[in-house]
Amino acid sequence: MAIVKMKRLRLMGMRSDRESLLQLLQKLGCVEVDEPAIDLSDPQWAAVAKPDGGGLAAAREQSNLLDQALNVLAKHASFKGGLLRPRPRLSRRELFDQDSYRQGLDIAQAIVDGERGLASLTAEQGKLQTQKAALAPWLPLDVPLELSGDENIAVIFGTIPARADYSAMEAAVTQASELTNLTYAGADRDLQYFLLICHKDVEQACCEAMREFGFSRANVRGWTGTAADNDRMLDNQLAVVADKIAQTKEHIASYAPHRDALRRCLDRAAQDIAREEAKSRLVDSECAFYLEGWVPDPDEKALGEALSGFTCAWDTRAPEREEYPTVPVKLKSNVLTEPLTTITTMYSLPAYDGVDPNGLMMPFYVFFFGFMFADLGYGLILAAVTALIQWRIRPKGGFGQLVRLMIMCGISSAVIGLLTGGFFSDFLVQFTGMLDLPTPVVPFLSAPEGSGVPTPLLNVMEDPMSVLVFSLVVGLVQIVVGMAVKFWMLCRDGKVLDAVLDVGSWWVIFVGIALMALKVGNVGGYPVVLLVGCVMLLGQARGAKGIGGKVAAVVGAVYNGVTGYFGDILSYSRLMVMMLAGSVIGQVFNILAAMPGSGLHPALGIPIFFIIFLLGHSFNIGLNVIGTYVHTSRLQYLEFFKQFYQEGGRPWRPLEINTKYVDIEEEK
Amino acid sequence: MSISEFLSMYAGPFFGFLGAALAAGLACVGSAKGTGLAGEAGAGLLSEDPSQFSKCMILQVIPGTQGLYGLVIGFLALMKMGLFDGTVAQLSVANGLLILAACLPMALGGLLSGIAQGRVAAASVNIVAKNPNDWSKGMVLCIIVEFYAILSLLISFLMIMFGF
Repeated sequence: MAIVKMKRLRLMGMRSDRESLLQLLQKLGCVEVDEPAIDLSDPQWAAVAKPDGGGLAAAREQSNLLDQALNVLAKHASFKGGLLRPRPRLSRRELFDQDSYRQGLDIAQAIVDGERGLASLTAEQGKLQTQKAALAPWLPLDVPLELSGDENIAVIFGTIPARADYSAMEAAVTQASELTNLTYAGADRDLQYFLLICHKDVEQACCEAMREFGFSRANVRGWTGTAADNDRMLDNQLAVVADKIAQTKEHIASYAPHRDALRRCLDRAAQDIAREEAKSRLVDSECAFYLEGWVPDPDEKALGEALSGFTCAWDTRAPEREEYPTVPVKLKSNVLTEPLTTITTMYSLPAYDGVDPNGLMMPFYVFFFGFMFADLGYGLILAAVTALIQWRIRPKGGFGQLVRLMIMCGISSAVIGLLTGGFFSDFLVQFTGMLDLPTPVVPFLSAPEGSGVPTPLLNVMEDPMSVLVFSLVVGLVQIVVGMAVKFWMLCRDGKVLDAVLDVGSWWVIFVGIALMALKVGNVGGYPVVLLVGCVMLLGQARGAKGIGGKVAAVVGAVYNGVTGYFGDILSYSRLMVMMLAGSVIGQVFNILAAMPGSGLHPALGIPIFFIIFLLGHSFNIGLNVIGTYVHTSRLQYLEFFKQFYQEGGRPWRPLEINTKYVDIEEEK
Repeated sequence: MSISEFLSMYAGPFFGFLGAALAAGLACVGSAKGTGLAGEAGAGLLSEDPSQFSKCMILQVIPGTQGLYGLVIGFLALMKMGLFDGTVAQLSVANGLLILAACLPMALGGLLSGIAQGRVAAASVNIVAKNPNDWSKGMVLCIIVEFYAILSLLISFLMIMFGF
């Protein structure tokens, strides 16, 4: 629940130990390696240099190969197993096992080669199909395509446009000479195809005659035998290619059982990349290397123990105040506050000298969410679904935090839903009403008059006003907590006067307004506390110069305070609004569901009821989860953080083992 | 029948129905335009990258809620008018006008917020295209507009339920 103190690490070691030392650091996962502040272009540093990037390039290449292979596999093989498949667990040694990594790379290469073969086969297939299409118009012609003339006979394969009049051309050719034979072959969308055999002497005249119809010579060079023979041959070749394509696809798909191994190798490659990237930030001399980075104060001892086995020199120091903007931020959390990290990081991490908001935000966040979502049924469903996800796939990172947050929010919604009388809105009342049964007696959820069971503590449908007032009071509480944090931060930095005047005056004013409303503590008819608070506001003038500046500072502070604080508190009315909207829409679905069934036999009415009920409430749950999440987060960001938050921290990114597809088991 | 008799007989239900019709109708128009805008943008992206379908669809659905809110208010107005228990004919002119007025926030809020939200959703499709991992931020931007539809729903609800 705090921001972890960081220390600047400087480490010098032997180059021969470099790889094993980096592996050790990755295993420990407690050092962020960054660039040392050395100007390598300075001649003084001529003896040192950056390590070569060959290892990084190789690791990236392997990672690309594995990634590509997995993509190819996903295209050709189908995999069973739903979304809720747990990640396999393995030890660190298994992850880094060189033999299985080699094997994985070989399989990946085979898959990628297969895909390449498939590409060339597909290209071949396309080529054959083009040839087949080119031959198609000549199919009816029972003449070998290599037919050529001799000294007396001319053979011309020709085309004219599709819209030209073939019979008119035929007449024109016959008119040009008797010594001709014109055979029609076929037509496609653009052209008509024909064969002309004529005497050499009249070739010119025939061509002249045909040119008027748009004649041009067709290219059938390279073919031997009739078109039909060639077509059959192409068909055979196409069949062979199609067969090969099917075989190759099958071959690729046969690697499907290796998918998990490939994913493991991809995870392994990612670790190699991380380590090589860290290495690229070091500087080397001939036989030593130098590393700078950040290590969290609590981990320093473990680091020292681990380094004791190496020939190296190292020291740490606390960062100077001027360095704070560059110090990475790590939040120390417990089980309850860790899920809030996703909300904090979505806004921005706190500055290194700021305050970790997770612990402060946790009770408010869970309560606000529960209050807006308030429904016993909805809350239980949300908690159950997210708990199932957490149990089955143990999600990591931001999504995992969100899932764990939603478990807490679901439970809170269920409890608040029970106390405010919501179970799928007014399901119990509508459902029993449809069946003409007496209204059930359930504490909080359905309490008919005179039944003696406790009624809902707050009923947003019947008494929205009390809920609104309650929302604003809760909002005031959160804002006062935020101001208290600001007060503490100012005192911590030694600015007690600022704390009292900037924050304290408003507290006095809030108390004064409350006392005035209750008509308590008035002296001589004046609300003394309120007046004291107003006088304290004059302290806002302390920083400004000149009379005009001081007046402007006070007026500005009053204006900002009034619009700011009161606007902020009013914004908490959304607690009531969201609660009401969820209930109203849920109730309308219940009424719609009960409407067709009220006149029917229960055997028909009940199924109809539940169909509409299911559709409507799933929609309402989906909509409300998103809406409530956004509005709860907004109240933290805009109303709560505004009071005290210093953002702008840079997240701490240690060199560590960070896997996507597998979980690493801790070694005993 | 004199004009005043005619009005006293039919004007109450007429104004009530007019209110319900506006709330449901205009809010549905807003949603239709909103989902339409988002859908066009989504289809553009899907032609390039079909794997983003679920994200595009969620963005498209978000401006669809105004139509639902309008339906809820229209439905509550009809219920309050007594359509379902057969007493709608006795609705007075004054109460009919109250229903009409109560439906207006939902009608206008639903119409305009639906269109505005659709534009945000359409722009958020760009986030899906360029940074698919950050698309939830686009969703958050859309939900900010949603709040004003919810406020319209709320004030219409309060006026209908507690108006008379």
